[in-house]
Amino acid sequence: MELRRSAFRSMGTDVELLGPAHAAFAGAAAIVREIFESDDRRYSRFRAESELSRVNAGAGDWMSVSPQFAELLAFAIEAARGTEGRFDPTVLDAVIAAGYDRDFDELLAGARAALRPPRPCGRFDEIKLEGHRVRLPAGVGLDLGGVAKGWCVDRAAGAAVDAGLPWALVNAGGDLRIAGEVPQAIPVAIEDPEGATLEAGRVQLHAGALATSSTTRRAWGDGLHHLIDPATGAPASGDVLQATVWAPTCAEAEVAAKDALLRGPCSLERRSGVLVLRDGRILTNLADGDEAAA
Amino acid sequence: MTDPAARPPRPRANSREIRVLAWVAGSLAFSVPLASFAISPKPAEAGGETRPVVVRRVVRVIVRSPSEEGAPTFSPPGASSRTPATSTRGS
Repeated sequence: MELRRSAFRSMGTDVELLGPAHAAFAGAAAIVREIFESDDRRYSRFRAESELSRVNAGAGDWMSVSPQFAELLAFAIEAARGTEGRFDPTVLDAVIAAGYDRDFDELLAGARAALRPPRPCGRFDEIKLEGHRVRLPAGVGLDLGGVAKGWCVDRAAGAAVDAGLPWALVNAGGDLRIAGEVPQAIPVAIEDPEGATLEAGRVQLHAGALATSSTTRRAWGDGLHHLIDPATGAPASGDVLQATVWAPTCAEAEVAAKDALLRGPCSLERRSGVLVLRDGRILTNLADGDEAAA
Repeated sequence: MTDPAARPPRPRANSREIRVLAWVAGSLAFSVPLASFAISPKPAEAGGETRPVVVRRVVRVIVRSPSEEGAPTFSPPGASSRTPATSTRGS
């Protein structure tokens, strides 16, 4: 199977479109890029002029938002309820308190420490959303980073197929989604959380989405990383180093991966995935790829 | 103004003294760089004292439980010969 690939950088991460060698590929790649750039302008907390920054600045007051923003926010609130708050879109203050107050490339260059002691989050149920109007509780900010990226991956993969590709895989920094019918499973390496050049295994993906959450990536100091445990407001420090979860959509997989990282091994009773534990074990409920191939 | 005639004449070095001085200065200029080589740290010699090299090994043990229908398959590290098309990592 001959593959074509288009790569660019957006939302602070590497994005790639994989698809078959097809006349529609170049057009689909341009559409995918435009979707990412548009969503980055809308959901980035590092852009003062983004819709997210405007909503956060107006916390305490009713604000008008775009239909796209309202749709993603409704999904995020529902996901927070469904995970009993382990996924929480209101972790902005906690992420900033941990030191992640600027673009990650700048953060690494500055080697920052935590700015403030952590405080528990969990005020997502106080968000009021009526149609295209939203009111955040005073003093609460949204961070839609991961879920916005998954949401964008889903839209981009669907748009690439709508543009004429028989199938497409969009991968944004490890959150990926297949749209359309792939002629054979796509081999996807799961990077090991304790070595960027090592693999923790491979998944043969034929449909749906994969997302991975890890406490060893986007880390800037001892115990300082971007995955906040909303119960404490501090970076997560449980038994799971990395959770890779399969789900029908990338936004769902992104939420489920965060949930699995905080919930631990029992998350595999609800979701399909691969957990890499601190003690060295890899737990999975995915079928053995070698047995399936035999 | 001081009368030049009142100042005692400065003693002049003779040619022998100047030759000795030139030899001493030349010898120093030659030997100082050699001395800096002599006192600088030496690289480790092959077969000499060995330094311990710490190689960190990551040992993984796969534990499986029943799979969900429709989910992808998983192969442990090194088990699959197909080159991965892409990868997933913590983001």
